[in-house]
Amino acid sequence: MKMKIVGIVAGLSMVCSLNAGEYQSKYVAHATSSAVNFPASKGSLVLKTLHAESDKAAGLAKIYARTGNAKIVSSANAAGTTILVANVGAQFVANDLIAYQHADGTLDYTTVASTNTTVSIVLNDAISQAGTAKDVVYELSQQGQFDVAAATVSYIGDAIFTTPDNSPLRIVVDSTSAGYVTATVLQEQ
Amino acid sequence: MKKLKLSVILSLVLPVLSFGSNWESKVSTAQTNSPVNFAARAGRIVIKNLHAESDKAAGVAKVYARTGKGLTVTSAPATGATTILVTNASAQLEANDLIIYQHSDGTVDYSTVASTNTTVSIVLNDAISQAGTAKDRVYELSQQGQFDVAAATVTYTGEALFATPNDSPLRVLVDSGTNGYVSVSVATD
Repeated sequence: MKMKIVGIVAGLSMVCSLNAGEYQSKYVAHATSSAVNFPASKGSLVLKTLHAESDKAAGLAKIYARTGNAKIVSSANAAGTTILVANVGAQFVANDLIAYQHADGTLDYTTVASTNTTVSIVLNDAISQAGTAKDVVYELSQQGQFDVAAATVSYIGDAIFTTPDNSPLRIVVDSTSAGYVTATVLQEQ
Repeated sequence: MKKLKLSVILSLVLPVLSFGSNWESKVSTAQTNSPVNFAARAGRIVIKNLHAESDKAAGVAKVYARTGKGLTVTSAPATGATTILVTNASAQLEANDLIIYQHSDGTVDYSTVASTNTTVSIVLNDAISQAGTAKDRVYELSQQGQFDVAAATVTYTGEALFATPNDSPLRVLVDSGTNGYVSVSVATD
């Protein structure tokens, strides 16, 4: 009997773990490029719903996630462009796409203008608020793509796309003069 | 002993069965611009099914949730009141803001802000539908999702089409000319 109860408990734990996490949705409507950014969490971000519109024949939803390891900011930064971060092994180089994640979850997306050996990087856009030494910088690369074309499309499923652990997620839909994107993810714990 | 074992098993099974519970469905057949409003609850509201019809070529289902934090009403307003006493610290609510007035029994009234009186009260453009209490809540809303409807009948079904923030009402509005409706089912995350 004890075995049965242990089995039931194990089974139930598995069922619970299948859905462990929190859902989060974001929406942006911009004329030429609609982008939504989800901050990193401990586990993976699992894309459940992607609904997008574009007026470009070649319209796409491009999906970005971290490549390489996240780097923790080594000293608090003012709301500027120079970020003190240990750039060991020159992980960051000019033109890299990056996401600067503040300790409160606010996410700034930009590109690297230049690097200063291994102690700092210079961004092409200033971070939106003063940073702390707990902030994290992620290098992003395109890791998924869905067709939109000059249409409105829906991709809905259990796992349309999954980021690596501890990775932000960025979705960009390109359009000419009218477009939008609505996305919902599950933040796995 | 058997009763004890059964109670142990039930105590384990029931929480699992109730995971994703508090299912609720609403429909609006208002013809011209059909809205459904769901009251805020502990946790997030997750849209599982959205079925809508519009007769407008550009018809869309707009999804609204809270922006900022919900505010607690400081003094009970009478039925039909438009002036609501609420601590509007840092002027979170401003004229033309979209709001949901949520009564303590879960009834929700949708309106917009006509004006504000410094930080102690707001005036709504529509009277609340029943007498309020000092436990009622006022939520500012913003559009946070969108799904295409066009001049058609559409169905979106999935594990998580859209998720509100915690403690947020949900409003789904389908725009149409003279013939439209919306039917929405949600669960609590």
